[in-house]
Amino acid sequence: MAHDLEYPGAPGVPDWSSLYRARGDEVVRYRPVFTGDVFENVQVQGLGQARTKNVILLQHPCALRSNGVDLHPRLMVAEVRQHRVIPVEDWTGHISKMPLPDLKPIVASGKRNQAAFFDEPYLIGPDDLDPDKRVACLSQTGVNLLLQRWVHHNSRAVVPTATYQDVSSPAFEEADLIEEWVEERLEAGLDVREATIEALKWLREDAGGGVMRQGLLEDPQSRSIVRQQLRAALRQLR
Amino acid sequence: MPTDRSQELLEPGTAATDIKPPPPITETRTVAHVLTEDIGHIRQQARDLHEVTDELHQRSHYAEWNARTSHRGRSSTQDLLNELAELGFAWRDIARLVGVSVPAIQKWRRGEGTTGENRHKVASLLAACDLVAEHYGIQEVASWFEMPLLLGVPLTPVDLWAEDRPDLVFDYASGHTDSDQILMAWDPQWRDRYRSDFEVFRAGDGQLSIRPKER
Repeated sequence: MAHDLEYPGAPGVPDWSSLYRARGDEVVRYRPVFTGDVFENVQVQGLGQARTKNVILLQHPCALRSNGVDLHPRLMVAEVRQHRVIPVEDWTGHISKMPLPDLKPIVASGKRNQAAFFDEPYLIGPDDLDPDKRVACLSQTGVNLLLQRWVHHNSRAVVPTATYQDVSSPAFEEADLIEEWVEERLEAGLDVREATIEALKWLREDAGGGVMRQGLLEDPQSRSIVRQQLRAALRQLR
Repeated sequence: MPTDRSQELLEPGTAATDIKPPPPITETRTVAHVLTEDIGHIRQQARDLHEVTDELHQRSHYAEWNARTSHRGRSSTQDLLNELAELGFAWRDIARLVGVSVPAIQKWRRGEGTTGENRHKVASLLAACDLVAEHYGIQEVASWFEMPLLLGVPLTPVDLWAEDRPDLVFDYASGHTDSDQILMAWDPQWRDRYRSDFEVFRAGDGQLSIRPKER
Protein backbone atom coordinates (compact mmCIF):
# COMPACT_ATOMS: atom_id res chain seq x y z
CA MET A 1 0.00 0.00 0.00
CA ALA A 2 1.53 3.32 -1.07
CA HIS A 3 1.51 6.16 1.41
CA ASP A 4 -0.73 9.09 0.72
CA LEU A 5 -1.53 12.31 2.50
CA GLU A 6 -3.20 11.47 5.80
CA TYR A 7 -6.05 12.94 7.81
CA PRO A 8 -6.95 13.11 11.51
CA GLY A 9 -9.04 10.22 12.85
CA ALA A 10 -9.61 6.53 12.27
CA PRO A 11 -9.92 5.12 8.73
CA GLY A 12 -12.89 6.90 7.15
CA VAL A 13 -13.88 8.62 10.38
CA PRO A 14 -12.68 12.20 10.93
CA ASP A 15 -11.61 13.48 14.32
CA TRP A 16 -11.14 17.20 13.80
CA SER A 17 -10.58 17.97 17.47
CA SER A 18 -7.47 15.77 17.45
CA LEU A 19 -5.82 18.43 15.25
CA TYR A 20 -5.71 20.93 18.09
CA ARG A 21 -4.03 21.17 21.43
CA ALA A 22 -5.89 24.36 22.32
CA ARG A 23 -8.32 26.75 20.62
CA GLY A 24 -9.75 30.15 21.52
CA ASP A 25 -9.87 30.72 25.28
CA GLU A 26 -7.98 27.47 25.87
CA VAL A 27 -4.76 28.95 24.46
CA VAL A 28 -2.34 30.11 27.14
CA ARG A 29 0.01 32.98 26.36
CA TYR A 30 2.99 31.36 28.11
CA ARG A 31 3.25 28.25 25.91
CA PRO A 32 6.35 28.56 23.72
CA VAL A 33 5.55 29.59 20.16
CA PHE A 34 5.49 26.41 18.09
CA THR A 35 4.97 25.15 14.55
CA GLY A 36 1.26 25.25 13.66
CA ASP A 37 0.34 28.11 15.99
CA VAL A 38 -2.38 30.29 14.49
CA PHE A 39 -2.26 34.04 15.10
CA GLU A 40 -4.84 36.66 14.17
CA ASN A 41 -4.27 40.16 12.86
CA VAL A 42 -0.59 39.84 12.02
CA GLN A 43 1.05 42.57 9.94
CA VAL A 44 2.58 40.91 6.89
CA GLN A 45 4.57 42.39 4.04
CA GLY A 46 3.48 40.98 0.70
CA LEU A 47 4.41 42.18 -2.75
CA GLY A 48 2.55 45.43 -2.22
CA GLN A 49 1.52 47.25 0.92
CA ALA A 50 1.74 45.74 4.38
CA ARG A 51 -1.53 44.06 5.28
CA THR A 52 -3.13 42.37 8.25
CA LYS A 53 -3.69 38.63 7.98
CA ASN A 54 -4.47 35.61 10.08
CA VAL A 55 -1.53 33.24 9.74
CA ILE A 56 -0.17 29.83 10.71
CA LEU A 57 3.48 29.30 11.59
CA LEU A 58 5.12 26.94 9.09
CA GLN A 59 8.69 26.85 10.34
CA HIS A 60 9.86 23.41 11.44
CA PRO A 61 10.18 23.08 15.27
CA CYS A 62 13.96 22.75 15.02
CA ALA A 63 14.22 25.92 12.92
CA LEU A 64 12.20 28.21 15.17
CA ARG A 65 14.82 29.41 17.62
CA SER A 66 18.50 30.24 17.58
CA ASN A 67 19.28 29.93 21.30
CA GLY A 68 16.32 27.95 22.61
CA VAL A 69 14.49 31.07 23.79
CA ASP A 70 14.48 33.73 21.08
CA LEU A 71 12.70 33.16 17.81
CA HIS A 72 14.65 33.56 14.56
CA PRO A 73 14.47 37.07 13.08
CA ARG A 74 12.53 35.79 10.05
CA LEU A 75 9.72 33.25 10.30
CA MET A 76 7.65 31.74 7.52
CA VAL A 77 3.87 31.81 7.86
CA ALA A 78 0.93 31.13 5.54
CA GLU A 79 -2.39 32.89 5.40
CA VAL A 80 -5.34 31.29 7.20
CA ARG A 81 -8.86 32.08 6.12
CA GLN A 82 -12.35 30.69 5.91
CA HIS A 83 -12.75 27.47 3.91
CA ARG A 84 -15.44 24.82 3.75
CA VAL A 85 -14.80 21.52 5.53
CA ILE A 86 -12.77 19.20 3.34
CA PRO A 87 -14.05 15.63 3.87
CA VAL A 88 -11.40 13.09 4.87
CA GLU A 89 -11.58 11.28 1.53
CA ASP A 90 -10.48 14.53 -0.14
CA TRP A 91 -7.46 15.19 2.08
CA THR A 92 -5.32 13.50 -0.59
CA GLY A 93 -6.22 16.46 -2.79
CA HIS A 94 -6.22 20.19 -1.95
CA ILE A 95 -2.45 19.89 -1.78
CA SER A 96 -1.80 23.60 -1.45
CA LYS A 97 -3.83 23.80 1.76
CA MET A 98 -3.79 22.60 5.33
CA PRO A 99 -7.46 22.15 6.28
CA LEU A 100 -8.32 23.55 9.71
CA PRO A 101 -11.89 22.36 10.30
CA ASP A 102 -13.48 23.46 13.58
CA LEU A 103 -10.71 25.97 14.15
CA LYS A 104 -13.32 28.11 15.89
CA PRO A 105 -15.60 25.53 17.51
CA ILE A 106 -17.89 28.02 19.21
CA VAL A 107 -18.63 29.90 15.97
CA ALA A 108 -21.70 28.71 14.09
CA SER A 109 -21.04 30.58 10.84
CA GLY A 110 -18.75 29.54 8.00
CA LYS A 111 -15.80 31.07 9.86
CA ARG A 112 -15.82 28.01 12.09
CA ASN A 113 -13.91 26.12 9.41
CA GLN A 114 -10.73 27.51 7.92
CA ALA A 115 -7.63 26.43 6.00
CA ALA A 116 -4.04 27.53 5.67
CA PHE A 117 -3.04 28.45 2.13
CA PHE A 118 0.53 27.36 1.35
CA ASP A 119 0.56 29.39 -1.85
CA GLU A 120 0.17 32.56 0.18
CA PRO A 121 3.29 32.55 2.35
CA TYR A 122 4.82 35.52 4.14
CA LEU A 123 7.93 36.24 6.16
CA ILE A 124 7.39 37.97 9.46
CA GLY A 125 9.47 38.95 12.47
CA PRO A 126 9.02 37.54 15.98
CA ASP A 127 7.69 40.89 17.24
CA ASP A 128 4.78 40.55 14.84
CA LEU A 129 3.50 37.59 16.86
CA ASP A 130 1.45 38.99 19.73
CA PRO A 131 0.92 36.21 22.33
CA ASP A 132 -2.54 37.60 23.04
CA LYS A 133 -3.51 37.09 19.40
CA ARG A 134 -2.64 33.41 19.28
CA VAL A 135 -5.97 31.66 18.69
CA ALA A 136 -4.92 28.03 18.26
CA CYS A 137 -2.06 25.63 18.91
CA LEU A 138 -1.96 22.39 16.95
CA SER A 139 -1.61 19.05 18.70
CA GLN A 140 1.27 16.72 17.88
CA THR A 141 -1.05 15.04 15.35
CA GLY A 142 -1.88 18.43 13.86
CA VAL A 143 1.78 19.44 13.61
CA ASN A 144 2.68 16.15 11.91
CA LEU A 145 -0.12 16.58 9.37
CA LEU A 146 0.90 20.19 8.72
CA LEU A 147 4.53 19.17 8.13
CA GLN A 148 3.43 16.33 5.84
CA ARG A 149 1.29 18.63 3.69
CA TRP A 150 3.76 21.54 3.69
CA VAL A 151 6.68 19.30 2.63
CA HIS A 152 4.51 17.61 0.02
CA HIS A 153 3.44 20.99 -1.35
CA ASN A 154 7.08 21.96 -1.76
CA SER A 155 8.65 18.67 -2.82
CA ARG A 156 5.88 16.28 -3.94
CA ALA A 157 7.24 13.76 -1.45
CA VAL A 158 4.83 12.11 0.99
CA VAL A 159 6.50 11.22 4.26
CA PRO A 160 4.33 9.25 6.74
CA THR A 161 3.27 11.31 9.76
CA ALA A 162 4.71 8.59 12.02
CA THR A 163 8.16 9.53 10.69
CA TYR A 164 7.54 13.21 11.41
CA GLN A 165 6.47 12.13 14.88
CA ASP A 166 9.91 10.59 15.47
CA VAL A 167 11.64 13.82 14.49
CA SER A 168 9.35 16.49 15.93
CA SER A 169 8.16 14.82 19.15
CA PRO A 170 11.26 15.76 21.23
CA ALA A 171 10.66 19.45 20.44
CA PHE A 172 6.93 19.09 21.16
CA GLU A 173 7.73 17.39 24.47
CA GLU A 174 10.13 20.21 25.32
CA ALA A 175 7.43 22.81 24.62
CA ASP A 176 5.03 20.90 26.89
CA LEU A 177 7.58 20.80 29.72
CA ILE A 178 8.47 24.47 29.37
CA GLU A 179 4.77 25.34 29.47
CA GLU A 180 4.35 23.29 32.65
CA TRP A 181 7.39 24.91 34.25
CA VAL A 182 6.41 28.46 33.27
CA GLU A 183 2.79 28.00 34.39
CA GLU A 184 4.01 27.19 37.88
CA ARG A 185 6.80 29.76 38.05
CA LEU A 186 4.52 32.62 37.00
CA GLU A 187 2.75 32.10 40.31
CA ALA A 188 6.09 32.66 42.04
CA GLY A 189 6.37 36.07 40.40
CA LEU A 190 8.66 35.37 37.42
CA ASP A 191 7.70 36.70 34.01
CA VAL A 192 7.33 34.43 30.99
CA ARG A 193 10.81 35.09 29.65
CA GLU A 194 12.52 34.60 33.00
CA ALA A 195 10.62 31.38 33.65
CA THR A 196 11.33 30.09 30.13
CA ILE A 197 15.07 30.72 30.57
CA GLU A 198 14.95 28.98 33.95
CA ALA A 199 13.16 25.96 32.43
CA LEU A 200 15.69 25.73 29.61
CA LYS A 201 18.59 25.98 32.03
CA TRP A 202 17.12 23.06 33.96
CA LEU A 203 16.54 21.05 30.78
CA ARG A 204 20.14 21.61 29.72
CA GLU A 205 21.60 20.31 32.95
CA ASP A 206 23.53 17.07 32.86
CA ALA A 207 21.19 14.18 33.56
CA GLY A 208 24.13 11.86 34.09
CA GLY A 209 26.69 10.39 31.74
CA GLY A 210 27.17 13.73 30.00
CA VAL A 211 23.66 13.69 28.54
CA MET A 212 21.43 16.73 29.02
CA ARG A 213 17.82 16.21 30.11
CA GLN A 214 16.94 17.86 26.81
CA GLY A 215 18.80 15.04 25.05
CA LEU A 216 16.86 12.41 27.00
CA LEU A 217 13.66 13.73 25.42
CA GLU A 218 14.75 12.20 22.11
CA ASP A 219 14.10 8.76 23.57
CA PRO A 220 10.36 8.23 24.23
CA GLN A 221 11.26 5.76 26.97
CA SER A 222 13.18 8.38 28.94
CA ARG A 223 10.58 11.14 28.76
CA SER A 224 8.52 9.99 31.73
CA ILE A 225 11.66 10.10 33.88
CA VAL A 226 12.37 13.70 32.82
CA ARG A 227 8.75 14.62 33.60
CA GLN A 228 9.04 13.06 37.04
CA GLN A 229 12.27 14.97 37.68
CA LEU A 230 10.73 18.23 36.44
CA ARG A 231 7.74 17.90 38.77
CA ALA A 232 10.05 17.09 41.67
CA ALA A 233 12.20 20.14 40.84
CA LEU A 234 9.11 22.37 40.76
CA ARG A 235 7.99 21.04 44.13
CA GLN A 236 11.38 21.96 45.57
CA LEU A 237 11.07 25.49 44.21
CA ARG A 238 7.69 26.04 45.89
CA MET B 1 -1.66 -65.30 8.49
CA PRO B 2 -3.62 -63.01 6.11
CA THR B 3 -7.21 -62.57 6.96
CA ASP B 4 -10.05 -63.38 4.58
CA ARG B 5 -10.52 -59.62 3.93
CA SER B 6 -6.85 -59.06 3.01
CA GLN B 7 -6.87 -62.20 0.90
CA GLU B 8 -9.83 -60.81 -0.94
CA LEU B 9 -8.00 -57.48 -1.53
CA LEU B 10 -4.99 -59.34 -2.88
CA GLU B 11 -7.10 -61.19 -5.42
CA PRO B 12 -6.04 -59.59 -8.79
CA GLY B 13 -9.28 -60.29 -10.64
CA THR B 14 -9.42 -60.87 -14.36
CA ALA B 15 -8.63 -57.54 -16.06
CA ALA B 16 -6.21 -55.71 -13.80
CA THR B 17 -3.19 -57.82 -13.18
CA ASP B 18 -0.93 -54.73 -13.35
CA ILE B 19 -2.86 -52.74 -10.74
CA LYS B 20 -1.11 -52.76 -7.41
CA PRO B 21 -3.38 -53.54 -4.51
CA PRO B 22 -3.57 -51.10 -1.56
CA PRO B 23 -1.22 -51.88 1.31
CA PRO B 24 -2.61 -54.32 3.78
CA ILE B 25 -4.11 -52.86 6.92
CA THR B 26 -1.60 -53.56 9.61
CA GLU B 27 -1.98 -53.25 13.33
CA THR B 28 0.55 -50.34 13.32
CA ARG B 29 -1.48 -48.37 10.77
CA THR B 30 -4.62 -48.78 12.81
CA VAL B 31 -2.90 -47.57 15.95
CA ALA B 32 -1.44 -44.54 14.09
CA HIS B 33 -4.84 -43.75 12.69
CA VAL B 34 -6.43 -43.83 16.11
CA LEU B 35 -3.55 -41.81 17.56
CA THR B 36 -3.91 -39.11 14.90
CA GLU B 37 -7.59 -38.83 15.59
CA ASP B 38 -7.07 -38.71 19.33
CA ILE B 39 -4.34 -36.05 19.15
CA GLY B 40 -6.45 -34.00 16.76
CA HIS B 41 -9.28 -34.21 19.23
CA ILE B 42 -7.03 -33.18 22.13
CA ARG B 43 -5.71 -30.24 20.08
CA GLN B 44 -9.24 -29.10 19.41
CA GLN B 45 -10.02 -29.41 23.10
CA ALA B 46 -6.87 -27.43 23.94
CA ARG B 47 -7.90 -24.75 21.45
CA ASP B 48 -11.38 -24.58 22.95
CA LEU B 49 -9.89 -24.47 26.43
CA HIS B 50 -7.51 -21.72 25.33
CA GLU B 51 -10.44 -19.66 24.08
CA VAL B 52 -12.39 -20.25 27.27
CA THR B 53 -9.44 -19.31 29.49
CA ASP B 54 -8.70 -16.26 27.35
CA GLU B 55 -12.25 -15.09 27.87
CA LEU B 56 -12.16 -15.94 31.56
CA HIS B 57 -8.90 -14.06 31.98
CA GLN B 58 -10.37 -11.05 30.23
CA ARG B 59 -13.43 -11.17 32.46
CA SER B 60 -11.28 -11.43 35.57
CA HIS B 61 -9.21 -8.46 34.36
CA TYR B 62 -12.38 -6.43 33.93
CA ALA B 63 -13.79 -7.48 37.32
CA GLU B 64 -10.57 -6.58 39.10
CA TRP B 65 -10.19 -3.36 37.12
CA ASN B 66 -13.74 -2.34 38.08
CA ALA B 67 -13.07 -3.06 41.75
CA ARG B 68 -9.83 -1.10 41.66
CA THR B 69 -11.58 1.78 39.83
CA SER B 70 -14.23 1.97 42.55
CA HIS B 71 -11.48 2.11 45.14
CA ARG B 72 -9.50 4.76 43.24
CA GLY B 73 -12.66 6.75 42.57
CA ARG B 74 -12.84 7.71 46.25
CA SER B 75 -10.00 10.19 45.69
CA SER B 76 -10.64 13.61 44.15
CA THR B 77 -9.93 14.08 40.44
CA GLN B 78 -7.17 16.53 41.38
CA ASP B 79 -5.45 13.91 43.56
CA LEU B 80 -5.86 11.24 40.89
CA LEU B 81 -4.25 13.53 38.31
CA ASN B 82 -1.41 14.29 40.69
CA GLU B 83 -0.75 10.58 41.09
CA LEU B 84 -0.69 10.11 37.33
CA ALA B 85 1.72 13.04 37.09
CA GLU B 86 3.95 11.42 39.72
CA LEU B 87 4.09 8.31 37.54
CA GLY B 88 5.50 10.51 34.77
CA PHE B 89 2.60 10.73 32.34
CA ALA B 90 2.48 13.70 29.99
CA TRP B 91 -0.62 15.87 30.41
CA ARG B 92 -1.35 15.48 26.70
CA ASP B 93 -1.27 11.68 27.08
CA ILE B 94 -3.55 11.80 30.12
CA ALA B 95 -5.94 13.95 28.06
CA ARG B 96 -5.90 11.41 25.22
CA LEU B 97 -6.29 8.46 27.57
CA VAL B 98 -9.26 10.06 29.29
CA GLY B 99 -10.73 11.39 26.03
CA VAL B 100 -10.76 15.12 26.78
CA SER B 101 -8.68 18.15 25.75
CA VAL B 102 -5.43 19.19 27.42
CA PRO B 103 -7.00 22.46 28.66
CA ALA B 104 -9.76 20.41 30.34
CA ILE B 105 -7.12 18.44 32.24
CA GLN B 106 -5.38 21.71 33.16
CA LYS B 107 -8.65 23.04 34.63
CA TRP B 108 -9.18 19.86 36.68
CA ARG B 109 -5.62 20.15 37.97
CA ARG B 110 -6.52 23.58 39.30
CA GLY B 111 -9.45 22.05 41.15
CA GLU B 112 -12.30 22.90 38.78
CA GLY B 113 -15.15 20.42 38.97
CA THR B 114 -15.49 17.37 36.73
CA THR B 115 -18.44 15.22 35.81
CA GLY B 116 -18.83 11.85 37.51
CA GLU B 117 -18.10 10.18 34.19
CA ASN B 118 -14.78 11.98 33.78
CA ARG B 119 -13.76 11.32 37.37
CA HIS B 120 -14.50 7.64 36.72
CA LYS B 121 -12.34 7.69 33.58
CA VAL B 122 -9.37 9.17 35.44
CA ALA B 123 -9.83 6.67 38.28
CA SER B 124 -10.05 3.78 35.81
CA LEU B 125 -6.78 4.82 34.18
CA LEU B 126 -4.98 4.88 37.50
CA ALA B 127 -6.62 1.55 38.43
CA ALA B 128 -5.29 0.04 35.21
CA CYS B 129 -1.79 1.30 36.06
CA ASP B 130 -2.08 -0.37 39.48
CA LEU B 131 -3.28 -3.60 37.90
CA VAL B 132 -0.54 -3.99 35.29
CA ALA B 133 2.17 -2.94 37.74
CA GLU B 134 1.08 -5.33 40.49
CA HIS B 135 0.12 -8.36 38.40
CA TYR B 136 2.67 -8.22 35.66
CA GLY B 137 5.57 -6.40 37.30
CA ILE B 138 5.49 -3.50 34.83
CA GLN B 139 8.10 -1.00 36.06
CA GLU B 140 7.91 2.69 35.10
CA VAL B 141 4.33 2.30 34.00
CA ALA B 142 4.12 5.68 32.18
CA SER B 143 7.16 4.78 30.13
CA TRP B 144 5.62 1.37 29.37
CA PHE B 145 2.47 3.09 28.10
CA GLU B 146 4.64 5.06 25.67
CA MET B 147 6.65 2.07 24.44
CA PRO B 148 5.97 0.93 20.86
CA LEU B 149 4.57 -2.60 20.69
CA LEU B 150 7.17 -3.44 18.06
CA LEU B 151 10.31 -1.60 17.06
CA GLY B 152 9.51 0.62 14.08
CA VAL B 153 5.75 0.44 14.61
CA PRO B 154 4.39 3.69 16.08
CA LEU B 155 1.64 2.02 18.09
CA THR B 156 1.81 2.12 21.89
CA PRO B 157 -0.45 1.08 24.77
CA VAL B 158 -1.48 4.78 24.90
CA ASP B 159 -2.94 4.41 21.40
CA LEU B 160 -4.72 1.17 22.30
CA TRP B 161 -6.21 2.69 25.44
CA ALA B 162 -7.21 5.93 23.72
CA GLU B 163 -9.09 3.88 21.12
CA ASP B 164 -11.00 2.11 23.90
CA ARG B 165 -9.17 -1.22 23.73
CA PRO B 166 -8.24 -1.88 27.39
CA ASP B 167 -8.60 -5.60 26.62
CA LEU B 168 -5.56 -5.39 24.32
CA VAL B 169 -3.61 -3.35 26.89
CA PHE B 170 -4.21 -5.97 29.59
CA ASP B 171 -3.43 -8.82 27.19
CA TYR B 172 -0.21 -7.12 26.14
CA ALA B 173 0.79 -6.47 29.75
CA SER B 174 0.06 -10.08 30.72
CA GLY B 175 2.51 -11.40 28.15
CA HIS B 176 0.05 -14.12 27.14
CA THR B 177 -0.38 -12.52 23.73
CA ASP B 178 2.57 -11.41 21.62
CA SER B 179 2.88 -8.05 19.89
CA ASP B 180 2.07 -9.51 16.50
CA GLN B 181 -1.27 -10.89 17.71
CA ILE B 182 -2.10 -7.59 19.41
CA LEU B 183 -1.34 -5.70 16.22
CA MET B 184 -3.45 -8.13 14.17
CA ALA B 185 -6.35 -7.65 16.58
CA TRP B 186 -5.86 -3.88 16.33
CA ASP B 187 -5.63 -3.68 12.56
CA PRO B 188 -5.07 -6.66 10.25
CA GLN B 189 -3.52 -4.22 7.76
CA TRP B 190 -0.95 -2.94 10.24
CA ARG B 191 2.09 -4.03 8.21
CA ASP B 192 1.01 -1.88 5.28
CA ARG B 193 -0.34 0.89 7.44
CA TYR B 194 2.89 1.45 9.35
CA ARG B 195 5.38 0.70 6.60
CA SER B 196 7.65 3.64 5.86
CA ASP B 197 10.13 4.17 3.06
CA PHE B 198 11.84 6.78 5.22
CA GLU B 199 14.14 6.61 8.20
CA VAL B 200 15.26 9.03 10.87
CA PHE B 201 18.95 9.85 11.14
CA ARG B 202 21.11 12.46 12.83
CA ALA B 203 22.15 15.13 10.34
CA GLY B 204 25.44 17.03 10.25
CA ASP B 205 24.06 19.78 12.51
CA GLY B 206 23.26 17.20 15.19
CA GLN B 207 19.49 17.39 14.66
CA LEU B 208 17.19 14.47 13.87
CA SER B 209 16.33 14.40 10.17
CA ILE B 210 14.51 12.24 7.62
CA ARG B 211 15.85 10.48 4.54
CA PRO B 212 14.67 7.64 2.25
CA LYS B 213 15.66 4.17 3.37
CA GLU B 214 18.36 2.46 1.36
CA ARG B 215 16.90 -0.26 -0.86
